Amino acid sequence: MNRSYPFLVLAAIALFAAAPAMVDAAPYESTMGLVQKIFYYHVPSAMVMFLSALVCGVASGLYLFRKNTAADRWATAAAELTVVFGLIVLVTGPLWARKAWGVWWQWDARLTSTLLMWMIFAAYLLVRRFGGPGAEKLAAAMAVFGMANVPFVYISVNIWRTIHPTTRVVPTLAPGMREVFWFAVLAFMVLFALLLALRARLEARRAALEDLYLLADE
Amino acid sequence: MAWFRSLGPRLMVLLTVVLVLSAAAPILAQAPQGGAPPAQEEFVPVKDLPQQEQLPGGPLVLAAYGFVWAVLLVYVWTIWRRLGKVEREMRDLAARLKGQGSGEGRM
Repeated sequence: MNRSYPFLVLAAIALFAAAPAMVDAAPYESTMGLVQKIFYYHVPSAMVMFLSALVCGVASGLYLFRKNTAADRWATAAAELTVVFGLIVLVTGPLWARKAWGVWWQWDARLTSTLLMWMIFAAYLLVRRFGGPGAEKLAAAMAVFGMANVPFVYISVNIWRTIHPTTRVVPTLAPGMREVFWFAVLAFMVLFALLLALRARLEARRAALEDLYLLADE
Repeated sequence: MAWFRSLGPRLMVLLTVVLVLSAAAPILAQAPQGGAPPAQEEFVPVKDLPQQEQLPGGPLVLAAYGFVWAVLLVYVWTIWRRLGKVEREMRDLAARLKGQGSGEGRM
């Protein structure tokens, strides 16, 4: 993974440098106008949040059932990224909603379930930080439940009545918007891969440091 | 019912009208008082609002994009700082262990 760092860093910088120009060049949406351009960062952030939650849940499952400590390190890294990208989703969404809906927030199915999912992963980090001995397993179980929320959050807009757009928006994007959107998704995915690798490396170094301390005690 | 008949026909009619109106009061209160219901009268499409009441989208877009960049930069900085701290601690501990090992070797 170390060899791929420079490539990932360069790719992420290039993609994020190009994204604002591409978003600026994208056509205006007819009813919302300029504010709809938040979509190009809001939706890819949500996609990364879902992916990160899935990675965290699967890795936590591996840790719980196979005692794989490396998987636990990846789960910690992914949980932190779920919280970071979830925060982006939960802030950019209301900024868009204020103009599009006239309110910052609505307690509807999509928004509420996203907030709850974010809180589960924030709780995961708090449990790991302050839970004391054995907190890793408790946190891993929380992550599995957090991951189980992902499909519910995703399809909530199709099941319940909500003012949030449905999942049909992305597949039916107009040409001109579609390319820019998938470019932004690629940028966010590359950044996610880079941050996940870096954060997992931090956990691996911390584990090595703990081993060194144990060696020093002996 | 003898007392009811003893009231007289005019009073009976009046009493009946009052009872019917009392029962119908909640329904009459909810019925539209001419014209469209209040909710429909209040709705104004955003694009039809006066200019001073329209919310500009530019600052919201800038705030959203600025927030994304700020969060990502701060997060990268925290990872870099935490990694640096762990690496420094590892180097110090490794040096200490090495020093202890060479000290024991001399004894």
